[in-house]
Formats: sequence, structure tokens, C-alpha cells
Amino acid sequence: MLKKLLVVGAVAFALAGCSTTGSGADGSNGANGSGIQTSGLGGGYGLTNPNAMVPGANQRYFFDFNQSVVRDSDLPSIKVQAHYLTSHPSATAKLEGNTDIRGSREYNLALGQRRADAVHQTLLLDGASKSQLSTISYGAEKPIATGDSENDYARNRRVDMVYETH
Amino acid sequence: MRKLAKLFLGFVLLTFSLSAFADMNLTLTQGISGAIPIVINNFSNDDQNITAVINSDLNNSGRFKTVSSSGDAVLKGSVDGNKINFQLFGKDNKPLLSQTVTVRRDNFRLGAHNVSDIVYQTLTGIRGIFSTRIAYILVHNGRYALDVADYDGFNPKPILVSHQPIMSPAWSHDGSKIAYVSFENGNPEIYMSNIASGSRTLISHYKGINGAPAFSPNDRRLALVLSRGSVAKIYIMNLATKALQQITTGNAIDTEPSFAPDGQSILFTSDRGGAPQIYRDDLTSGQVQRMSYNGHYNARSSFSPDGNQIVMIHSVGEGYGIGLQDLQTGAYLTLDSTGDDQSPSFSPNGQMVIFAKKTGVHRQLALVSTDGRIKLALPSDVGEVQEPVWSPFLD
Repeated sequence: MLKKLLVVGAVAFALAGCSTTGSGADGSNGANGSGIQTSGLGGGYGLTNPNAMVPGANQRYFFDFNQSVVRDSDLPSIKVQAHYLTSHPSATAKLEGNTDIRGSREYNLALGQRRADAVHQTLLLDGASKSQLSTISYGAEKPIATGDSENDYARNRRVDMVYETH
Repeated sequence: MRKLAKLFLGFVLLTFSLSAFADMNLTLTQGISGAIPIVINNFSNDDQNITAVINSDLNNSGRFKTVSSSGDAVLKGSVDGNKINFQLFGKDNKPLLSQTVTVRRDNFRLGAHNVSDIVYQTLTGIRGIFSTRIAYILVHNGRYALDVADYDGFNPKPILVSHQPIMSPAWSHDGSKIAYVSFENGNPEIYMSNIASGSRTLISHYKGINGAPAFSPNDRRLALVLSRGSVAKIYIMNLATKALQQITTGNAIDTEPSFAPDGQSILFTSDRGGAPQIYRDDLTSGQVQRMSYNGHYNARSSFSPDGNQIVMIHSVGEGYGIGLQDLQTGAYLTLDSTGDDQSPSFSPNGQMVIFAKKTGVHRQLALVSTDGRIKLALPSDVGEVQEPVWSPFLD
């Protein structure tokens, strides 16, 4: 299961690597005197890859509303990942924190970071090395459920553990 | 070779700009009974539809109601090349005003908005906002655009288009720049774009969160949020030197700084009390004071232009609305409470608040007067519209 995910990941990241060249910090141009100009990102728009690696069931951890405490029920899954990391010292993973889509976006960005940090801390306690892990928060910006039910909100309150390839 | 590259860039820009904005249409959804009746005669020589724009402006303000006769005021005018001449009369044909607006760069809509501003100010005593702009994030087909449009949604233009999230646009107080958060390099980073030229600068890319930019009143400093490997904290950056001053400390989330109009203090959101609430940090003494006590969730606050009110996202448990707190009387008013409201922003004259609300399945823009009596919808024909921010007055 884990092996397969890693293989899929390899393809996805290789593709992404090819396409994200140059961020074009200075978009520029189009002085047509209308006051507002379009600023482009150069050629570096990045590729939205439909085959991007999707975390497996034991690589996604859910959180209660406005909480960043790892659930007891997720501890065994996290232990499995920590074990994988300790037995594969060259493996690295990114912890992506997310929140539901309501409320303040910047507060959610901070909350998603705290969730990613909580999983990070648990993995370290389970023996993973700091150098194998990185964190990022997407806040409310990358929901996996866009509906308005409590179930949709709950699905978005999550940390995804995504293995990286080199 | 160089030419080819240029051509390609042009193509990319074109394809991206085609669907990088939405058509929006401002509609008054709730007016007031005391609206001033005004007769607007068709301007002569009006092949640019100036009369219609002024009509929409004044009706949409909620403070006026256009009538065909027996108004408290009458507006007449004519167009002569790039000049709009107009005269305003009060009751019994009393002349109030005779003025000329020069249309710049063939922007006749802006010229008409200028006329509306003058009429509005003459009859209400309050400066009009019809020639101001709004910025917002449009999300459509997995594409994020930072758009700037007229206050009524016309003339939308993308400042930035990306396949990665864009967040938290913030106007400089001189109206020339917008700072924002972009995930284009993976992490949330802060950039600043010059609106006229489109040129932009990377402002902050520390490890972790770089978020919630907010300009100081003189635009020389930028309040921002950095996590730097830990929890989100508020900093102030000197924009000339990039030097950072850390403002808040501790283990709680501190975010969404917003300067007071006098620059002496900032509002921010913190969950140091267990749930997000609004606090104020006196930048001289460093003293922190809790500002919001009403409700279990208050966030994304900002001061009114006169500093006497603050607006925020507000929740008492079920759903999110927009709340307004008067700092002098302590009075609290819920301006909107449809369940999923976000990102309130004051108009530069302090009379209206623009925000994003979920209507049906889509997030769209809405406006409400600060007394809660006038409501407008600014629906978009495509996509999700997020995080509106109102420009300052633009001269």
C-alpha cells in the first residue's frame, strides 16, 4: 500500500518539478493607460496534476472543530508512519494542515499550521527524525469537501501526510 | 528566440486574463423608507450613458430614490466632449451647485461616478464612494485571480492569476499598491503589487506562514503574521529596510493585524482565551486589551476610517455573521447573519461594509450599511468571490 503510494508520488512530483520553473517575481507590463495592468506570473504557473498523490487512510488525520489535538484513534496510524520513517531514513514527508471552509481565512491558516505541527510533534515522539518532516498549512484554501454539511466541514479539518520523492 | 518567448508570454497572459474576472451586477436588496427623492433628468448629448450610471449610483447608495417628479432635489446636466457639466437644484428650484467634471482617459463611467460623489456629498454631507474600487479573490475552475474592480463590480481587472491559492489582499492607504499572500512557490508568501504598473515584489518568505499583511497609515510599515517554525505571531516590518519587530509572543495563535487610523495600536485575532477573539495592542506601551466579548468566535477585525467602530466576523455558535462594535458606546450590532459570512471591510467613508457571503452554493459579495438598514448584493456570474477589500479614496 505504502509502496504504491510512493510510486504514484514519484510520477506526480517529477511532473510538477518540470513545470514549476521560475516564479516570475516581476510580472509586469501592458501600459495601455487604463490605470490597472495585468501582472503575469511568467511561465511558472505550475501544473495542476490530477494524479497528485492522495494520502492513504492511515496518512490522513481528522480534527475536532477549532482543535489541533491529535485524536487517540489516529495515534496507531501515526505510529505506523513513524516506524516507516525510522526504517527508511532517506524518506521524507510533508504534513499539510487544513481547516473547514468557514470563518476567518487567516485564522484558519494559523490553525492548519498548528494541526500540522501537532502531527509533526507526535511523529517525533514516535521516533521519526526532524530532518524527514516538513509542515505547511493551506488553511481553508484546499478543501476536499465543498458542501455545507457538518460532515463536509469535518472532512476538511485534517492533516494529510504526503511522502516526497527525491 | 527572444521574440518567441515574448509572444508566448503574451499568449499565456491573454488566455489567463480571459476568465480571470467575473461580471458582477450591484443590486439593492433592502432600502430605507427615508431615502431622499431625487429627479435625475437625462443629460443632454449623453451617448456614454452617464445618466444611467449616476442613477444606479444614487439608488444603490440606499440614501436616494430616483423619482420622475416632486423630488427634494433635481439633477440636470450635459456632456461636451470630455466635460460633464451638471447642475443640482434643491426644493423650489433653489440652485445648489453648478459644476464640471473632466473625464480622464475616456473613462466616462468614472466621470459619472465623480458626479455621483459630488451630488451625494452635497445632499448628505458625507463623501461619496462611487469612484472607489474593490479588490477580491475570484476562484474559478481551479484558478485563483486577484481582481480589482470599480466599487460596483464594473471594469474587473486581474492583478495576478495563479493555479495556487491567493489570500488576504490589503490596500496601501495611498491606493497605489496591494499586498497579498500567494502560494505560487508552495508556501504562503507575501507579495506587493503596484496596481498601475503591475510590477511586484516578494516581501516576506520566512519558513512557515507569511500571512495577513496590513499597511500602516503612512504605508511605511507592514504588519504581518509569521510562524517561523512555531505558532503564528504578529510582526511589523519596516518596508524600506525589511527590519522586523515582533509584536506578540506566547503559545496562542495571533493573526489578522489591522492598524488603528492613528497608527498607535493594532487590532488582532487571538485564541489566547481558548477561542478566537479580538484584542488590541498599544504599540507604544505594549499593553494588550481584549476588545470582543460578544459571541464565542470573533475574527478578522478592522477599524472604521474614523477609528470609532470595528467590524468583524462573528459567531455565537451556529454559523458566522458580520458584527459591528461601537468603541465609544460599546454597542454591538449584527449587520448580517446568513451563516457563512467572511472578510468584512469598511468603505472609505465608513458608511458601508463589503463582505463575502455564501448564497446558495456560491460565495459572493454583499454590502451592508453600518446601521444595518441598507443591503446590496454584488453577485458574480462565475466562480467563488472571496475576501473583498475596499480601496481608500482614490484621487
